[in-house]
Amino acid sequence: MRRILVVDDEEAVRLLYQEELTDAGYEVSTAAGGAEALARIREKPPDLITIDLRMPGMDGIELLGRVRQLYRELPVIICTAYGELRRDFATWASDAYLTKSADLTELKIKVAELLGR
Amino acid sequence: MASDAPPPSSPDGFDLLCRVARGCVAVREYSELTQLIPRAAVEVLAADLAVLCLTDPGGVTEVVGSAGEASPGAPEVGAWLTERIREIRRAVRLPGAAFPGGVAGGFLVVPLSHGRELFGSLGCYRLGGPFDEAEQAALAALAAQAAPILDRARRLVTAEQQATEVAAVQEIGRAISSRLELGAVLEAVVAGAATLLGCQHAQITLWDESRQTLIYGAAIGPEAARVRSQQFGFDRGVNGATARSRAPHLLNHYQASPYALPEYPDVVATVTVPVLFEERLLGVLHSHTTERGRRFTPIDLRRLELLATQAAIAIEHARLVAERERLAAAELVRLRRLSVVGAIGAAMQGSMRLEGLLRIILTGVTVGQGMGFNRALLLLVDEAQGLLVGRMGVGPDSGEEAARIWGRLDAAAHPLTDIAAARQAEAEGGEASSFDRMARSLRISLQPEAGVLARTALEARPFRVRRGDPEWAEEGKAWLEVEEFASVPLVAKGRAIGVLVVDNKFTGKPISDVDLEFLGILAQQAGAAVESAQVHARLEAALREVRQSHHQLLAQERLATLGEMVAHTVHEVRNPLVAIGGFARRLEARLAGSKREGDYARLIAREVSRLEKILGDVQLFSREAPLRPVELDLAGGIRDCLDLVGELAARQGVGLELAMETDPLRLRADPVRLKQALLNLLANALEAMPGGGVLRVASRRVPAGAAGEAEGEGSGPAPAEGWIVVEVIDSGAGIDEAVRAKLFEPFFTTKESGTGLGLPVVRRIMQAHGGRVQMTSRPEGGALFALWFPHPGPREETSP
Repeated sequence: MRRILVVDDEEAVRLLYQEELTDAGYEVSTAAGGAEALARIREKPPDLITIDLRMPGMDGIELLGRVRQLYRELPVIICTAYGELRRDFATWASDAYLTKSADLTELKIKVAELLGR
Repeated sequence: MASDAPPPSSPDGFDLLCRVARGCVAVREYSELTQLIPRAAVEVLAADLAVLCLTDPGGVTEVVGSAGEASPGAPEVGAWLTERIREIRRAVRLPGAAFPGGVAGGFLVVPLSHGRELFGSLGCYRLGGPFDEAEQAALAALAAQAAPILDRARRLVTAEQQATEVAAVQEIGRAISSRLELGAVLEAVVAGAATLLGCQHAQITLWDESRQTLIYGAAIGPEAARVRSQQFGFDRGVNGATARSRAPHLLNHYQASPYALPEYPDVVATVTVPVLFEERLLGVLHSHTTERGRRFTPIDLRRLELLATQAAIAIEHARLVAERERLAAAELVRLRRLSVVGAIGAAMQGSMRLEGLLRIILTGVTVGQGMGFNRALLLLVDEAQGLLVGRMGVGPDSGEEAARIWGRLDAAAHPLTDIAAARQAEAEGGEASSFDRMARSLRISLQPEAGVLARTALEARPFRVRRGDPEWAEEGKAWLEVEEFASVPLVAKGRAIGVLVVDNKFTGKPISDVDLEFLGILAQQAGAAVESAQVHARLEAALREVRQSHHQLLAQERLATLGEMVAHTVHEVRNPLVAIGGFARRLEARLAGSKREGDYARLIAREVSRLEKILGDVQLFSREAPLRPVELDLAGGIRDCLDLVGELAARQGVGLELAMETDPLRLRADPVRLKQALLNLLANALEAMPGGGVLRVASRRVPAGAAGEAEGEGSGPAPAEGWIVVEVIDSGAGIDEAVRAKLFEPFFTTKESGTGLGLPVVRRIMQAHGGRVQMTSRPEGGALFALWFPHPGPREETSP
C-alpha cells in the first residue's frame, strides 16, 4: 500500500485529507509543520507528499527545498490556498500545484497519476 | 606856457610865432595840430620838408605829421629823409653831406620836450642849403610853443581813446558773456575783435590739449570760409607760434616776417594774442588786415589782449555750462535706463510667466524715444535641439507706425508694466506685428558658421555689427534689413541661455558704446529673470507630475492593499471552506441512507463549492499571474475537467458527451488556465440545465481563415497554422439577445448569486493565449461556447 504524508498546519484539513485518502486506499500520515514533516520522512519515507505553502516556522517552500535535496524523485504536490504563486513553483519545484478545495477529486486524480507512473 | 627858448630876433619870426600860437590855441584837434606844426615850420624856414615825430610812452617814435616835399616826383627820397629825421631825436644842425650816402642841402632837428620829458622831435630839410643858427633858434621857439599844446592834446586823445577802448571792450565783453553756448561766444568774440580793431578779419582758434594742436573756433571776414576749411591746421604761422610761446605777436610787415604763410599773400599786418584762463591756454585770438599802409599799434594789441581776457572767461563759462548740461543729460539717460532695469527687476518678482517676462524685457528696451531702440527681439537657447529659437519680437513694421506709436507713448509717461500689458493684450488679440511673427519663426543652428547670433550665444559676448563688417552679411541683410544691429547674450549661471537683438531701423541712430553698456547690464538682469522663469515653469511641471504620481501611487496602493486584502481574505477563507466542504461531503456519503440529513450535507457541500468558485474567480481577477504555456494533450485536459464535474452532472441528470475530432490534439496552453476556462464553461452549461439535458464537449482543428474566425471576444492575429477549437454545448434554455451583449462584462450576471466573473475570466484566459471565446445560440435551443486556441504549429520538444 502506498504511503502519503500530508503536511498542513490546519488540523481540520489534515483530518479531512487523511480520511479521504485513506478511503481511497492509501496509508496516510500527517505533519503539522515542516520540522515534523522532515522527522516523519526520515522515520518512514512516504511515496508522496502534499505540502501546504503557508505554515508557521518552516514554511512549505523551505520544506520543499529540503525534501528535494533529500529525495529528488519523491513526488510532491503543493496544495495551497494561494493561487498567485503558481507561476513560481508550478513547473520546477513540485510535480503538481493544486488550489485547496473542499472537492478533493482533483487531488485524488493527481495522486493516482503521480503514484501510477 | 613856459618857454625856455629866447624870443625870435626878427619881427617876421615873432609874427609867425604869434600866429602859430594863436593857431595852436584855436585848434584843439590833435590831427589838425600835427599837420599845422610842420606846415608852420616849412613856412618859417622856407624848408622843403618838415616832419613832426612823437614818441609814445612805450618808446616808439612815429611820424605823426609832415609837410612839403623833398623832391617832387621822388617820394622815396622824402621817405628816406623822413626816416633820418625820425632817427635823430635831439637838436641837430647838419649839412646833408654829413650823412652816409650824401645828399645836398641841410638838416635841422629840434627836440620837443615838456618839462624834462622828451616826447618827440621836429625836423626840417632844405635842398637849397644848410640852416643857420637863427633858423635853429626860430624852430626851437616854435617847438617850445607847440610842445605843451601837443602834449595836452595827445594826452586828451589818449584818454579819449582809452575810454572808448574800455567802453568798447566792456560792451563787447557784455555781448560775449550774455551767451552761454560756446559757438555763440566764439562768434561774438571775433565780431568784437573786428570791431575793436577796425579790421575786416578776425578769427579765434581753440587749443586741443589732448592732440596738442589748434582747431578752428570762429572767424569773421571775407576769408572766413577759407579759414574754416583750413586743411593744414593752425599750427604753422603766427597762430601756432603764439600758442607755443603764449606771447602776443604784432607783425606790421607780415610778408617780411618769418611767420608769413604763402596762403595769405595779401595780408599786410597781423596782431595775435593768446587766450589764457588762469595760466591755461584756451586758444589764440588773431586779426589781420589787407589794407595797404595800415599798421597795428600797441594800443590795438592791448585792446585785443583785454578782449582775449574777456573771451577766456566767457569760453570757460560756456564750456562749464555745456559740460554741466551734458552731464545732466547723461544722468537723465542713465537714470531712465536704470529705471528700466529696475522695472524689469520688479517684473521679475511679479511675473513668473515666461511670455509676459519676455514682453517686459523687449518693451523696456524699445520704449522711450531717443533712449530706447527701435526694434528688439529675443531668442532662447534650446539645448536639446541645438538651436536658437526666436520667441518674441517688439517693434513697429514701418516708419509711419513707429512715429505713431512713439508719439502716443511719450504723450503720457506710462509705467513699463502697463505698456507691456497693453502690448500683451494686443498680441493675444491677434494683432501681433509682422516683426513679431518673423521673430517667432526664427530657428538658428548653434554652430559658429550659422552667423553672428549663434556666435553671440556660443561665445557669450556682445556683438555690434554694421554694414560692411564681415559678420553683417547673413542677418543684417537677410531678415533684419538694417544697416546696424547689436546682439547681446542673456547669461545665467555662466552660460548663454538666449540672445537679445536690437536695431534702430527707423531713426538710423548709431548704436553707441554707452548703448552697448546699457544692453549688457540689462541682458544680465534679463538672463537671471528668464532663467528663474524657466526654472519656475519646470518646477511647476515637475510638481504637477509628482502630484499626479502621488495620486496614482495612492490609488495603486489602495488597489494593492485591496488586492492584498483580497488575496489574504481568499486564503484565509479557503482553509475553513476546505474543512467545511470536505467534511460535508464525507457526511453526505455516510448519510446516504437518511435522505434529509444526506440532503443537508449535500447542500452544504454544494454551497461550499460555489464559494470556492467565487473565490477562484476573484483571485484570478485580483492578481494575475502570467501564463506558463506548455505542450499538452487537449484530450487529457478535457477529460480531467469532465471528471471533476462528472458527479454533479450525474446528479442533475445531465448526460456527458465527448467528441474529439482528431485524436490526439496537441495544444500549447497553461494547463491550469485551460482547465479554469473549461470548468467555467462547463459550470455555466450545467447551470443552464437544472432539469437535465445533454452536455457535449467537442474539439476540432480549424484551418486559418475559416468562417467565424473573426468573431468572438478576444484579440490577436490569426495564427498561420489555424486553430484548435473546444466547444461546450448545452441543451438548456439558451441566452437572450439582450443578455448576450453583456455576457462578457465583468460582474454582469443574471444569476441570483455569483460574482459574474466567470465569462470575463474565460475571455482573459483566451486573450492571454492569443485565442478567443465565442458564444452562439443554437437553433435547436441551448448555447454553444467555443474556445479558439491557436494551433501551436509543428511539434517542439518542451519539458512539461
